[in-house]
Amino acid sequence: MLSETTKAKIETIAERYPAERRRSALIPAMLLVQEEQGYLSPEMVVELADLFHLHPTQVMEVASFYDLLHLKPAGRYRILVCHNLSCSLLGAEDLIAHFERRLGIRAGETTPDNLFTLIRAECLASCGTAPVLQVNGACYENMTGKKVDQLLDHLQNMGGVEYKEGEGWTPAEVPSEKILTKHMDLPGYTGSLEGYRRQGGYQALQKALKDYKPDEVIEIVKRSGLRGRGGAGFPAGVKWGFVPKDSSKPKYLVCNADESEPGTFKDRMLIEKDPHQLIEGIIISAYAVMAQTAYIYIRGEFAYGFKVLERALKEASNAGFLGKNILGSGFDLDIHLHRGAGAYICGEETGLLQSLEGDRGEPRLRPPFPATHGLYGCPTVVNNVETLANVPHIILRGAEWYASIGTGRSKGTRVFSVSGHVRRPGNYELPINISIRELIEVAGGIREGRRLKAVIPGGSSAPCLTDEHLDVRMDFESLAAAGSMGGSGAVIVMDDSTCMVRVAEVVARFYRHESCGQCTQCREGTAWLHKILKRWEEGKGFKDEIDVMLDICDNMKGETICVLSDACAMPVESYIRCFRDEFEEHVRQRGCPFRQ
Amino acid sequence: MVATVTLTIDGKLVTVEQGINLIEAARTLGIEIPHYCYHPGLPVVGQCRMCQVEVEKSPKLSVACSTPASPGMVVHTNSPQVVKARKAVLEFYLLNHPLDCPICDKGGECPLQDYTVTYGPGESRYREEKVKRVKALPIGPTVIFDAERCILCTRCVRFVQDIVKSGELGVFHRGDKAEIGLFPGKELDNLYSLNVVDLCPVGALTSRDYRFRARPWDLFRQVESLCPGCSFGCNIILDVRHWDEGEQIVRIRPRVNMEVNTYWMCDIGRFTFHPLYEKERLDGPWIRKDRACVPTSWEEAIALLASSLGRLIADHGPGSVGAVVSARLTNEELYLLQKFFRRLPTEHLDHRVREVQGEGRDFQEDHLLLRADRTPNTKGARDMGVLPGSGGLDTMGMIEAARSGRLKALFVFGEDLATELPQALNVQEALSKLDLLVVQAMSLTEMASLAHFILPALAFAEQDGTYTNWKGRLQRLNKAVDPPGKILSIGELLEKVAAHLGPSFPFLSLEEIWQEIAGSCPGYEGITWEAIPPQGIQLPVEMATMEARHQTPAAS
Repeated sequence: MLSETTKAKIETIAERYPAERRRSALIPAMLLVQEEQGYLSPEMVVELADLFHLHPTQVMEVASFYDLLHLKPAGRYRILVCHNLSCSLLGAEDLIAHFERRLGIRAGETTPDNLFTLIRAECLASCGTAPVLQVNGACYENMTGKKVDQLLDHLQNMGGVEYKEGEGWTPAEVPSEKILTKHMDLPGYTGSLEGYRRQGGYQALQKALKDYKPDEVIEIVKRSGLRGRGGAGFPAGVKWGFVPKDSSKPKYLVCNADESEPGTFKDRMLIEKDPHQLIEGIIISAYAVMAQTAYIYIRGEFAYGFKVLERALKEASNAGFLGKNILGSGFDLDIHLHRGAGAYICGEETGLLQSLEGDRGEPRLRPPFPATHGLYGCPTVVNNVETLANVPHIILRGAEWYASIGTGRSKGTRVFSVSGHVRRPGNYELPINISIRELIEVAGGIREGRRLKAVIPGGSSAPCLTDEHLDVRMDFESLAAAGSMGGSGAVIVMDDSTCMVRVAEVVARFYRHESCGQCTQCREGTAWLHKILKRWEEGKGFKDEIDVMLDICDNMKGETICVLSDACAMPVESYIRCFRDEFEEHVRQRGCPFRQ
Repeated sequence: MVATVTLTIDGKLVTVEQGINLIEAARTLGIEIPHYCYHPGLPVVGQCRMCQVEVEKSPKLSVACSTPASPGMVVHTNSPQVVKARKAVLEFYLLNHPLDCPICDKGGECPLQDYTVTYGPGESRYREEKVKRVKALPIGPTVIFDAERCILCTRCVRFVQDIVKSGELGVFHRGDKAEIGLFPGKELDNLYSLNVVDLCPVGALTSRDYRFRARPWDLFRQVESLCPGCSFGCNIILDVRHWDEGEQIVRIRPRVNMEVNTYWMCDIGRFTFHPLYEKERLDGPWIRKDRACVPTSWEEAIALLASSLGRLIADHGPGSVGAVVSARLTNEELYLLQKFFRRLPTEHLDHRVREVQGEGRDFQEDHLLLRADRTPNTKGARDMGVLPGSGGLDTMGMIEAARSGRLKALFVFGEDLATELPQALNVQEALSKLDLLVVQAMSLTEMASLAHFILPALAFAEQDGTYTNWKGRLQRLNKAVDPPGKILSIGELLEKVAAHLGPSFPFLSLEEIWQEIAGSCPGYEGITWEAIPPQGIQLPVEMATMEARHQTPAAS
């Protein structure tokens, strides 16, 4: 039975959504029930179905889609160990083996005392502090066998986890002016409203509301050249311009805080370290498109970030920056936080909207586009965290100032998440057109005694580049010209100790796990590629399969509802093309030449 | 005027209704664009990616199901790029497909099989072990599920969620782990469940009733007809199989009629052919001798029936004779029967049986295709005049007159008054007082135990004729199979009985019957038998049925 307290909490959550869209509260409600009951039992599913006027099957459809929703009981501590690329480059498999030895169970199992469930997880957005893990949503970074022992001792003896800020953002010297990351490097800066205002926070909002009409804000952002920082790089102002002015429907702004592209951990930092910068950006952007409701769709794994934003929204609201008649302008806006539940595909904007509506995060057919038919079929703008965080600075300092940074059609700075085999992984805010060589230097260069082998410049979906491309610049056009893409700005650096078949296997495994399963090519292709690559890495490859794999990649591209299929095919294809010898060596040696 | 657009598909210019997609546009030219997830009666999801076509000036292939036909569009449905993409999709589908076609009930009418033969790769490049999933799992009273064959087109899920709105089926998990399933402990048990079998483009969902009863190539005849299950008048196809012992209907499927049932039919209708093959089916007349009923010849049955009837009319007048004629009969049968009895002459004539029972006896109506009135032809019976004439008794009146001895002879066609009417009315006691009770039925009913004559009836699938549905749509049923033994049609029976009685009642062909109906039944003027099209004719609507006209089943 659902407790009355939980039911009341669910009702409070449901108030964030239009009355006829109660279903939006389904996933947050499921997370809440799990907190109370540990998992979603069939009885709970039936109760939730009744509560939301759904068939139990529909609730099961949703629950079974998300990694963080559990239809089976598990241990008191769910340990998620990231085995994605950056963590895998820095010993994730050793860490998992260590857990398995120490707990006497295999990944996917629960200890007999029901204390621990060990789970292999995909990217947890802490790639700069790899390898990482989460225990019940609390993040543990830069993990080693010794630290695992300490953690397990603590959990066994004392119990309890600590939700805290990410460790990976030690202020770093960068050779240029920081915009988005400048506050957080100040000593003692906590991201509180008071601190933010002391640095001039919310002045941009005042200026926007006082000096500009919504259309003028759109024009300024268009002129600034700001492009989406989530992956596709679409010009933000142009996107806003697609929202119909004359629609009688409500308009929505949705902040995409579902950062999950492997290698990317900058939005998490922007949220945890300077939440008001994001909130101010959301308010100004909502004003520009005349949205009166905004949602922040935050990754379910960002338990700490959720708390930070929750507090910051309350502060902003108390200070009159949210709610009715903001700063006497007549503009009203409510921002609601909405937690995801573990699905990479919800970072895709229409998958996100489906999820926000309480459904499986299956991307929608386009057209129509969200600008006209988005959330609840209403005009909707979906923007990434970093994109929105840029907006106050553009308003305050002007479009021309912003456009003076960067090059061509790529403007401003980018917060690059650098991970892998560099000496100082981390987030570095630099002009968008910095070269790969300079960026790696800023991150401390390649590890001692090693040579660069490959660089993934825009998250794991991006085709790899090699040491030939060190002078390629990181702006969208230059990377596209080099055969890759800017993507989410995540730079994964791999030195010559790296096996590219193994990298391909890890990447394919990720997309296989994250494919929503709607489109045939993606559902079947990601799994097929992964199975072949896994077999290859085990030394059971056949030479003719190189061409089969290239063919599969070719068949997976350009023909699906969203680009997840392409995002799997493109990198795998690039690894094969750049390192074909290494693939062939796996067949010759009947095994991986990088393993002893 | 419907707005139209003109476009070019495979080099041919075509003008189509604005807003239709490329699959439908191509269909008007007789060009089939292969597809799995698309179905005109379901929401478009564009998932299977099978229907990709090349649209000139578009950078990538387009999915035909979600691409509206637009003016000037130039579409290629078989360009090398399209052929390659299609082959790729089929290769992906077949990776884990069990290829158990020889034992699959869908074999021979399977789009996956058909498209693979036409467009698919000849051999597999898949070296991995095929994924094992659940097979031959009954998921309810009517359907069996095979997860290995499923290609996740989600037609079944959309049908139960968006059309029936019962929601039993869903997609669980994601990616290559995704699978169609039901909530634990629940069954697929809505009254439309078997539509998912028709919708399934592979052998993942098969009918428990039809499974292994025939191969598609055994179904040598597909007869367009009407469902006799209720007054909705769903259009159907009767699949007839040939056995050594004869022909048999083995399956009923819905036939598309956008004015009536759209693409669907209910499960009750699917099983309306079962009574044809019941063990108790009558294949000749029976007659009461002493206490028991025994089979007899038609000659004897008709001679004795006619002489009994003639004696009663001579002794008590024709007003001592009544007839209850079921609205399950065809318009033509109803017309002939009312004509016969009015010639006797008697005005004790009625088709209404269910009205006597009050509400709640029959199944409930719903938002789709189910009508509470289980007789397919109530409106037809009314239109044909099967109602008491001036001074005539209705069904209940006839029963009471039988009880009081005023009514001496009762003919009952196609109804079992003993079971259809409430126990409290004590119908059996009343009927037992009759001097002559003639019952026409498909099998031995409870009432037949009281009858002096039991005459075998033809089933709906054993004759040509028409029904008029609740909205006044006149539609044709067509003979699919021969009846068992020797069963006289109503026309033959009446002709033979009349020959014994005196004034002739010549047998009429359907064309001749229709000349009379068109001349005497209001609303049916000008209609000829030959002119009734496969989709039926909407008769002029009376005010009373206007409301009904505005309710059409949800097509999407």
